[in-house]
Amino acid sequence: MKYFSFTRITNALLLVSAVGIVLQAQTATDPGVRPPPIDAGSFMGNLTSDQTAMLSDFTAAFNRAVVVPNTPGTPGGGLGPVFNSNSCANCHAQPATGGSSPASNPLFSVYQLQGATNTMPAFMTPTSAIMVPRFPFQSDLVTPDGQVHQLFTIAGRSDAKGCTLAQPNFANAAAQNNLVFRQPISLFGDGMIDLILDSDILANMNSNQTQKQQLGISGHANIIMNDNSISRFGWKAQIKSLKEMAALEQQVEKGVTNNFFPNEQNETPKCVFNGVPEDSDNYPVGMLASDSSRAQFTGDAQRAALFIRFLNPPRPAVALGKTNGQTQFNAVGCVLCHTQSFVTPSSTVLKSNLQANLFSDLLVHHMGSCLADNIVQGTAQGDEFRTAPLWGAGQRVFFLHDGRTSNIVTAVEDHFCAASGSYGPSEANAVINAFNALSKENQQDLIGFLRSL
Amino acid sequence: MKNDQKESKIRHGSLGSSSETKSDRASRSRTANALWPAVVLSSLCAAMVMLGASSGPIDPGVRTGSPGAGGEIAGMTSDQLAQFPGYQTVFHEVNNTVPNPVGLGPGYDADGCTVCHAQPAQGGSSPAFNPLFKMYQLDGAQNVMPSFITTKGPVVNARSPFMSDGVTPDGHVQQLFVITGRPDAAGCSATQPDFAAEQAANNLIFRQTTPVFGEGLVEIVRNADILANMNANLTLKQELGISGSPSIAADGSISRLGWKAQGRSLILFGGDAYNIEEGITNELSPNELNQTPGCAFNAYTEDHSNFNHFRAHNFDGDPDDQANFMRFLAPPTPAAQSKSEQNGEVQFNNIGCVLCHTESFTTPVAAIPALSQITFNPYSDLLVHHMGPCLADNVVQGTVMGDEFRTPPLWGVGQRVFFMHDGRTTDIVQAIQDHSCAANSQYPASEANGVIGAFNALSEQNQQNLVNFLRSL
Repeated sequence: MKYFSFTRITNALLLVSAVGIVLQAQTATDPGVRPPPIDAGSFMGNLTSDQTAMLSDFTAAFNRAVVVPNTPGTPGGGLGPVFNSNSCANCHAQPATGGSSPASNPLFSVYQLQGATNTMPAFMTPTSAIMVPRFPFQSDLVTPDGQVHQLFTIAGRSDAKGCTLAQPNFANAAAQNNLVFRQPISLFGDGMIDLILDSDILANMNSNQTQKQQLGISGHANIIMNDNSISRFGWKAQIKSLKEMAALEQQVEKGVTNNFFPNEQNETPKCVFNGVPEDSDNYPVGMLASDSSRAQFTGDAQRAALFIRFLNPPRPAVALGKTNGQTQFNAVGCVLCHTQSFVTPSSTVLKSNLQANLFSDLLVHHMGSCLADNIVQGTAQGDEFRTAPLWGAGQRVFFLHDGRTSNIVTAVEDHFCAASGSYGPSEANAVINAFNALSKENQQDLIGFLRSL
Repeated sequence: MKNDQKESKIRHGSLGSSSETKSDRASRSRTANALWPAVVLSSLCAAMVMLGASSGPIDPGVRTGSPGAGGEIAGMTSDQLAQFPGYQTVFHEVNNTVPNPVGLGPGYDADGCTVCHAQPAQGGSSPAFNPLFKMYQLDGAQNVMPSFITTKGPVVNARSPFMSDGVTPDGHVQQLFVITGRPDAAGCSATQPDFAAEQAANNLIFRQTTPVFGEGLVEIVRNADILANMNANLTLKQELGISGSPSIAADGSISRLGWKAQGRSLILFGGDAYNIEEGITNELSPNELNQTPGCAFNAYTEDHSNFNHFRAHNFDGDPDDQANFMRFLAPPTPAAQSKSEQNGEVQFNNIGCVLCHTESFTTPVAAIPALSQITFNPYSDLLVHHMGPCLADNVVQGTVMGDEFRTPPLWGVGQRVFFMHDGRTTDIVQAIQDHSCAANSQYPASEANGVIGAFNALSEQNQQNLVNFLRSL
């Protein structure tokens, strides 16, 4: 009897302490992906009639699922020899075309398409984010690599007869701790980000310096040395312009060579079926002066770039500046990096002076060893990442550069990281401490604000 | 950038202005030859000194005759040929700050591509008479000419390797001129960089204009072929101290255009150059380099996709047209070789110049028939090499270090006026010797030292043959 009651007490204590742990870890609850309506994926208003007439061409380029054989002048070919997917829209899908990684991993519908003999790497599951693998180092584990090592090859496809090409040995790379991932980034509003002036980015960087220093926040631009411009696209802000991004991804993700990046990633002789570049200016298509044919002169890379350029930013579910959650977001200092807005300059192609509520300073910050991917790109170091724009975060499924969590509360907490041997502490530590010091209600309001974006 | 529905002006008269230097060079050579017997006879001691200083091969100077460059490549389709004049127009286009075609400045080096890409024809390199003297006070601009730009010197752009702290890497182009004073830039008070101070701080380096003939072939050479050539003749290269490595682009491929092989493709290179050299913001380089308030007169980007242009090829904006112009420019044509030049090529190969200045590559199957499976002769391995502290510009670009440079293609070198990345010499013999450099505490020795030692060990006749061979290219 005594023994029994002792056990009961012990159990009760365990229960209390377990609740305590739960309370400490689950300070707030992620309400999950905000349900429809989906206010993303539409084109901007006020387009010219010429631009409007071409939107279907631009959309077709972004949606086009490519196969291996290519006929110059006719878009639709050029897949591989190595690839991650066969179209832009395949991965940029959530919550609408142009977005991010959807809940159901679309690569499972691509990897063995048309007889391809790929196996699905172990890190990818039907419910995981799309994870694009990179090896930080070459096989000596010392020399920097950092490039994308594509998931799949065209070997086995009925339109790639004679090609034998193995996938990279991801298991080996993982065993060597030399495998990192990046998930697709939502593209909504990138046409506005493309135009934000370097001088405005720097002015914002230099604002609130005292407060930033107190909190341990620095941040700097990823500078493209040649023209001294501020690069602002990609997880490390490693890409300078929307146009180059579209061309780079067409080549890296699909294996479609283009005028910007004209050579195949993998040049295994029997696996190269087309002349280079596969996507290029189309002669004689588009030579006529008629309205719609004009856009067909250019390749899919440029057309996909124009698709992105004209995409509206995501619209928040609740008006900005009205909620306690945003007040807390500002008060704890999230906003010091996740800058609410920039205004675009007068523009030739888009409407001028647009307010972009992107919630990013477009700078890179040290995030500590917990997030570090050990890849240096431009002036962004191995533990530095661009402040991820939060517009549309309410309808995203996966968070952080590698899509490691679908819980936005965990994503907030994952900003915290102590210093290690390799890297200093995360610049976000003080802000995350301030978040954790909020009342549970205020934390929940802040999370609710994020899910309203 | 030209506004829709408007034809652009074409710059005339800036091409082929190399005659002055040719005659200068010829007379200098004649003078040297005429003086030679007198020098030998003067005194033994003086003759010894002069032998050390002036014996050896003589640069015959810029090759005269037909340029053999600047035209379109053979094998273009009728559709491509129909577009070529349009591409050329954009490459020639003279840009203003505000009046159409718009976009010059706030900072700039020149107002059109062919201003600098002029020798011996459009698409080429720096001409003998410096065209920047027609640029710096153009249309009322009030620039002073930096001391390092001279009337008979090369067109160069300027970079400061480090920021003002002398430590933090910089290296971007500091545009020579500003639009201040131009009637179409009223109210702009941008000032030129303080080049004198940068020079005094030993923080200013230069790069001259590279010719673009044949680069449509260069940009599509397979990475695998560049690497196979890198890995060929390894024993010989190692004996001579030659290594070399690729410059890596954003997609992991081999970047291969520009002095540091920092440009991956013609369109990426062209988009950057359009903004850097002319100050014309475009979809590939969207921000002004010079952001002085009150000097940005145009909406962003100044050059952009044209949705209502009457010519389809203009749809993508000027860098695409410029890239197509360069893509379809034929490689330079070498001169017919004399016996001396034939022997010179043998020497060039024997002593190891060819180990970096690889004679030929063949393009892969290409979408454009004129560029498909073409064997061409760039005389470059498209790799970068350590050239030692004497040439180092201390600018790191991508994977390329401060003392590394791309092996400059030698095709067309016979008709170039200036040599080395900064155009430091017009004497091709000097250019050869400038490949040699001992190590210092910062940089290793030049990879070319073994080869230049072998060149200097050749007989004077063989050296002359080699130089003549170069001038036949």
